[in-house]
Amino acid sequence: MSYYTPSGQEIEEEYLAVKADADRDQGHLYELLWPYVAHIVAKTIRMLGVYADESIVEDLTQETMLAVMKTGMEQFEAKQALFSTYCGVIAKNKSVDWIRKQHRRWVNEVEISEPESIFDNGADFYNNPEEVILREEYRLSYIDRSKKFLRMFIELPERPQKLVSCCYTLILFQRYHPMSKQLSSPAWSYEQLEGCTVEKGADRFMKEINEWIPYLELYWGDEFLDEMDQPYEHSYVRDIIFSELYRIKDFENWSIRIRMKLKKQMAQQEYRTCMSELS
Amino acid sequence: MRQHLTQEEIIKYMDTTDLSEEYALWLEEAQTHVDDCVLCQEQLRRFLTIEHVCEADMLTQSIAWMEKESDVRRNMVLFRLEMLGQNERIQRVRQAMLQGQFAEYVIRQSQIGRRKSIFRGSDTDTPEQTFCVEYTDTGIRMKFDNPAMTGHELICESDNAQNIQLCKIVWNEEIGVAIADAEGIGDMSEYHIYIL
Repeated sequence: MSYYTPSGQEIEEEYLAVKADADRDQGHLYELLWPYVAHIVAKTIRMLGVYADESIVEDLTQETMLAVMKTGMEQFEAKQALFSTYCGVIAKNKSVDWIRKQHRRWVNEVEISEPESIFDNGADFYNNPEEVILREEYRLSYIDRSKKFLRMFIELPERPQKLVSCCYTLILFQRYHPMSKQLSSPAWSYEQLEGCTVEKGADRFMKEINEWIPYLELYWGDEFLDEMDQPYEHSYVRDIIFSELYRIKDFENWSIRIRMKLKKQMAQQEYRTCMSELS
Repeated sequence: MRQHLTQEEIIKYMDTTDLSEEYALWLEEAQTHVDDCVLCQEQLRRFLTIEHVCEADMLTQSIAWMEKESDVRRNMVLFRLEMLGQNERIQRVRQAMLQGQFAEYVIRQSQIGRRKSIFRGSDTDTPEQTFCVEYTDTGIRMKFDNPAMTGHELICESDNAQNIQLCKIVWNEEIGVAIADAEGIGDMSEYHIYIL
């Protein structure tokens, strides 16, 4: 795709002319803005490592143009910034939001294509190798970061949080992979869980809880969550074990507090890694 | 010349809600640097992935995805082989990979020192090979007890599938074992080995 990309100053002159004369046709401004916005959209998407064909760039450009021409022109009241700068922000925002959606779509494609279908039967790879490779690279980078994240989660230093995290991991694993017996075979299995099956991991987890709170005797299984909700003396079992950290909602939607903490840690770690790669 | 984006600036860059003039001017200035800076671009890409990994229900997805890791890696190896060319050797290796005639190993470097451990990967039809790994100045060396391994092909994948090497296992008279050397880039912590 190659467009003539007008300068910000050219756009500014036309924008001011349209602003000054309410009857002036906006067509010329639109024509000037379109390639400028398309250029920013294409550049942002490419820079952020996502493949997008011309039709996607066109759609996003269209969306940006709508936002700019409909409301942006009225809202834009700048002292220093050019109108094109403001359009650039909208174009960048639309592109980033699209990428976020795209990531979600890829992650939801849990069923990963078998290589046979990619190379022999399906024409996907041959039709669009760039997109297929980028998608797989994204998956790998996602897996890599998920591993780091899970590791951070499991390694949380505070005892109750660590228990919550181990328990959470096991619950999720059982819920979504009830047939799976091995935690050790996938490459993501870490030293803490290495060589241990779901059953053994659960036993270890239960043993730790029962050692910690000797007056309780808990068992792993379907009843676990029910047991957590049982009243015990003036409290509930869950409160005794996890105090305020256990909330069933946290198990469904896991704690924002823990998630944010880990996100920050991980971003810091990645930032340091990237910087050390530079030096 | 502008410095690299700080961590706060990366978060700011990815914000899609701020439409203020101050933000627009800042973005314009930052963008000029980002356009030419591969490092900042990489930081922004990483940030988007971290952000997504941290979303509410992503741990569940992560578990499902991580179970499929070896499939994704195998796909990447196949893609990279496809791009390496079409000569007879690559075709043969690719065919063997497609037919699942390989043994997969993951070599992970321990965080403590340079101790390494080998995790067995998939079950395959190929005979059991035992080997040990040594880190060299340029990468890793795999040593095979079984002389019959001489002549086998080996694929070494590292750097999160960015680096794929095709090596042949050769007999080393000096030390009396079959060896294969693979190069690593930087301080690699994980190698995926496919022995064909």
